[in-house]
Amino acid sequence: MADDAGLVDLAPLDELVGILPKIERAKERARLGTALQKATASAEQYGHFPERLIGLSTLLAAIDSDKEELRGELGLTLTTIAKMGQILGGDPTIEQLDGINQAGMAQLPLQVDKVAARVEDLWRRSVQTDLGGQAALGEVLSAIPGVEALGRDLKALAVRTRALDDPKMVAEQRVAERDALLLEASALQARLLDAGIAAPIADFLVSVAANPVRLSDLTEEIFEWIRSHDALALFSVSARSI
Amino acid sequence: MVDVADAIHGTCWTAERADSILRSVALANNVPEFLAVHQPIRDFQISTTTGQSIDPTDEGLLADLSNPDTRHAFCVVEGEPGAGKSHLIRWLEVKWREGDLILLIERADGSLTGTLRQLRDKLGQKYAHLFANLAQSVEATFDGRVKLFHANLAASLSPTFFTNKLGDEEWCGTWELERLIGNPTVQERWTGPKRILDVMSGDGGQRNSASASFDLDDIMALSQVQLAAEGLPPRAMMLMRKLKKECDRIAPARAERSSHDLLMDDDLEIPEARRLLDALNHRRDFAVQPILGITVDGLRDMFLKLRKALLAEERRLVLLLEDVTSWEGIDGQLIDSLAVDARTRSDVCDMVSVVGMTPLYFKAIQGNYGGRISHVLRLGRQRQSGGFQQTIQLATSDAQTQFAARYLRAVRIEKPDLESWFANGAEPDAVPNKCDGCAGQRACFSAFGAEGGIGLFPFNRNAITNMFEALEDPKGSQSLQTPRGMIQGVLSPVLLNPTRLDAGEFPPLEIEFSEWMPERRLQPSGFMAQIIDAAEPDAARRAQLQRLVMLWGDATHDVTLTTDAGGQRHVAGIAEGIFEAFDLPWLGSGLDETPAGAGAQTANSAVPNEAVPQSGEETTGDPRPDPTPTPAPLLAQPPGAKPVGGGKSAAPTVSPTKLKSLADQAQAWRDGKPVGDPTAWEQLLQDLMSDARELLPDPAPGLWERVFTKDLVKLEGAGKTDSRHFVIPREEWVTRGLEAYLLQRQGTPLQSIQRETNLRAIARMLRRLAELARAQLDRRLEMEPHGWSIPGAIAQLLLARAWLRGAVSPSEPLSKQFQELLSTEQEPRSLPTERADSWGELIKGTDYWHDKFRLLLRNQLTLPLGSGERLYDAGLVARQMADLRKTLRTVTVPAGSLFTRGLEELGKLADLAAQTDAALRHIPAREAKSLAERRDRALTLLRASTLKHHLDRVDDALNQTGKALAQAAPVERQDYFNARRKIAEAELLDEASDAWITLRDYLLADDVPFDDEAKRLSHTLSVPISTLRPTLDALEKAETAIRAAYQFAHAYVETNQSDGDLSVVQNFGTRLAQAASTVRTTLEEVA
Repeated sequence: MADDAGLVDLAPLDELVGILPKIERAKERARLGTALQKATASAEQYGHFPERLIGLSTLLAAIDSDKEELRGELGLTLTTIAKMGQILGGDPTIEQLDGINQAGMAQLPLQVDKVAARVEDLWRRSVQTDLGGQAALGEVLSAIPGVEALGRDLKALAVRTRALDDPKMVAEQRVAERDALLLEASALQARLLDAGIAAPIADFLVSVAANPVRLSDLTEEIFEWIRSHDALALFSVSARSI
Repeated sequence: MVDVADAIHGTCWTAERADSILRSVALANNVPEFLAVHQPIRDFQISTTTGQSIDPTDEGLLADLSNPDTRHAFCVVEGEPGAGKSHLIRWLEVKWREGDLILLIERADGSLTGTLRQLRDKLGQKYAHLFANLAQSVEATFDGRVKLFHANLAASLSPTFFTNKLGDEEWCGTWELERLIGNPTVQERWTGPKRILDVMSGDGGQRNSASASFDLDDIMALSQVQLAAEGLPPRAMMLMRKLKKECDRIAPARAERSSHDLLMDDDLEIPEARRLLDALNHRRDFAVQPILGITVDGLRDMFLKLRKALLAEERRLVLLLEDVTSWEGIDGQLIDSLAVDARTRSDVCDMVSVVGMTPLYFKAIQGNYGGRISHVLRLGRQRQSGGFQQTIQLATSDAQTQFAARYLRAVRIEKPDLESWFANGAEPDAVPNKCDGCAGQRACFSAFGAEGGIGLFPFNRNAITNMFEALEDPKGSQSLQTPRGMIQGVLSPVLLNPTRLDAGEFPPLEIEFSEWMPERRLQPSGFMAQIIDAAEPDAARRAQLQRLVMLWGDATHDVTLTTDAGGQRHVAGIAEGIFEAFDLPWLGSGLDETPAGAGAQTANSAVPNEAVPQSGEETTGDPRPDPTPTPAPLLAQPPGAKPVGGGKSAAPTVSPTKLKSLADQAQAWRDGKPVGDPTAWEQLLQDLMSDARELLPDPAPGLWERVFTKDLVKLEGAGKTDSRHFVIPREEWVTRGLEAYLLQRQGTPLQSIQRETNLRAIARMLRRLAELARAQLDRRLEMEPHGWSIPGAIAQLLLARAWLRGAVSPSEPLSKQFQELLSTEQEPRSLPTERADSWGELIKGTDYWHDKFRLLLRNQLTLPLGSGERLYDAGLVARQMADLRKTLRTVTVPAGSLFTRGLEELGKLADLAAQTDAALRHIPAREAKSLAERRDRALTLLRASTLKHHLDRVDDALNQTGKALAQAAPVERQDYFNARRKIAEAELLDEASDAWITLRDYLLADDVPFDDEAKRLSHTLSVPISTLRPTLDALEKAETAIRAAYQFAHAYVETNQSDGDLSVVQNFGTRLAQAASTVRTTLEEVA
């Protein structure tokens, strides 16, 4: 019987007793592992955020307008992102990781989107200021005899200007393209003057293309230019509806 | 007392005279003889369409018909064959007034040709020309005529055959009867048409009023041709199948009743057979007339010519036709001719016709000719029981005796004396009577009796009536209770053999030669047979005595000795003088005389029997008014004697009136007839079997009642039986014993000698019944060839069950085990479900049956010791109990499947005993092995610790694991703690408790060798399995929980050995921080 006992497959009671002390440490590791696992997953998911922020920084750098307002809006956000990045880049504790997993990582996409939205908006306004109205003027001129070619060129410039709004385009390219368009717009301005289209005329035509204008805005000089270019038929007068 | 032997010196008649007088055919003897035996015919039923009432006597009928004013009469005399139609018709001819042309046409050879020849001869040469063209004989052999008849019949069944429709053409067409009857195979194999022509040809002179009509037998014969007939159209085949079904259905009834009888039974559902019969019979005349050579109107023309000629002679034609069936084939024309009323036409003479017909024939023609028949006279009347009519003329025993007396008187008269009487006017009251001048008249009348001054010698009144009532036609085709039956069946066998009287051989053996006398009617009752055997050593003379007592005796079951007013002694109703006259030994020797009024009335009493029914009631031959006499003190049972009947019951279970009826039925049963009143018989046989049971040393209590139930005990011939039935044979010891038993039960006053022999007969019957019952028991209980002990098998089965349930141990004293066997069971103490499989299976197998078996065992073992507390005979099963204890084997039992209805319990007993035998002896070893394995397992699991110590460790480990890792084997841990709680409740964790100590001692005890399996079984029953089982359960569950908990904890720890990789997160964090800073810096720089 005693001999047989060795042959019997007994349950590992002693082993169970022996393993009991190791359980607490294992539980700690298990908890860390879990937090780390989540954080790693988030890092891998949001790995492109730093590059995107750098791109936005490039756009900002190319905008000449005042950024005071923007600084006020984004300052805290950028500080929060930077702080979380610093923690993760250091030697974060389980609690820090748990906290970042539960809150920081969840907010990060929203924060990055907010920064991007504000910067892109500022960028679009800047480009509009520098290159706006080309398309409308191009449309009008395309219909006036003698200045059709100028009109087409203006329209082509307008198309390329709109492409600058595409956030998918690398920031450096967008900046370079804007700079090139500014040069081309300057050359077209000269050709307008050569064609007798002074700034008031050009502004009137741009206004007409975009919105109804008051009859009072139609100066003699402008009327004369239109009439001389046999373009009266392109315009009509109507009373504002009451 | 007068010495009859001296008074009667031999016979007083001769065989020649008897032969001359006893002519069964009325027209066979001469007129003086005919008138000498004529018995006035009275009380028949007669109805007329003339409006005149007629006295229902032969004289009244004669007066009406022969009245010169009667211009037309068509009188039908209806009666069964032999009922006296011919006699009456001949009597009319003898008595008819002069002046009329009287033509009496006898039955002759029964053929139509013979009948016509007779008519021609009687009319004489003067009218021979009328027959010149009547019959154009067909020149064909009989076979040829049969074929012609068959072909004509087939053709006539065509729906378009007749100009005047018969009304059934559509039905014939539906079933294509023309093709069916005309089918070559049917023509070849169906014997119906041949039979018809046979009968019409007179049937070799044996026609006997047989009708030449198709009957049910012909249809049955036709249906038998079905399978052989090829080429039948489908519809005809369908009809044949229907006919076959109908015939198969009536076949059993046909075995007992005549075809005619069945056809008359309107309740019999044979619609197609009836319609086919009608179709065939409606066409029979047409089909047969061309063969007979008689034209359709030939006979009618002949009669018209004859009557015209007689009109010229101013004569009246009186046509007396003995049997109209002789005219079949042209009978329709004949009746048409007879119906011609001279009052409606002036060219024919007046005519009176009297025609004999059987009831069957009359019924058939009534529809067509009923309105033209002026007189209908019925010689018989319908019996309540159906069947043949009862002949009114011989309805009572007095009439029978008077009828016979006339013949007895006639046979004694010498021929010259008779002729002289006839020559002198043949006055009925002046018929010579030889008895008048006989010197031995007084002694003769005293012994044999007389009727109207005519001695009944060599008969007595009993002999005449008994023989007459006993007559039976074995073919069932006719009634023999007719004048012809009396002449041929009663008078002839005795009177035609006078020499046997002189030779001392009376009653003559010829009585037994008659096929009309059933053999059973000549078998005396048991007691009488004993008396005859004792009185006469010679077998032939014993047979004479048997005939004498059975026919000349009073036909009662009792053997009485009485003395009449004249000092003549009678035994069984037979006067002592008859014994002397027949030179036979007196059978009354040693019998006590029955007190006056208690015995049977003597057979030869001159006083007419007032009790004999007068209006058609069947006579029993027993004139005693009170069938249930009060038991006389003579029959008082001896003190202390057990009464027969009803077994242990004090009161008879069959009423006295029933007993009388059963006694009559028992006699009938002895004679081969079935018994009636099955309920009374069942009860009586139960009583009988109960009495027989008393004689058995082992009355099989509890089993007898199952083997000999009411419906399983039958008299031989009383219904269907099989091997389960106990059939009481129709043998002499039974018939005799039953007779005596029933007499004893009735308390009938008996001769002391009869009582003594009856008691012997009863004893013999009961003893043999007991022997047969024992054999039946042995057979049904499968005691052959080696026998088996039913109580032993039950005891062993119950004992094994008691052991396995822990109710008692095999090591207990036998007395205690016996007590346990018979006691109601308590809850099992052996935890059968925890034992080896076969242990529980054996108990489960008997769960449903043990109560029934225990009850049966109690019945079997109960000692019949009064009404107090029961005592059981342990000795009946002690050996089997001891054997079981010794070998764990049961007694040898038969296969359970051998036990049939009523004994299913024994079948189950046998099956269960066989199962027990196969399994029980292996159970101790199996269980011991199982227990040892469990014990070893428990010790192993305890890991050399006490139960408490080991489980404390387990508890600690599992609790800690659970606390750290809640998901670690929660179910297994819970199971363990539940099991642990149970053993804690059983105090097994208290190391000072008895439960633990007992278990511990068992676990630590050394193995004990056993020298027999019963001891091993005892030991297994002593194992503390009730604590071992939960202990092992808790230990096993602890193992399971530990194993599962460890697996979980181990996996957890192993899985969580490393701290993890931070590089990805750190890299991301660094880059993110730099990018955010860059943006912020750019914003600030611009500013």
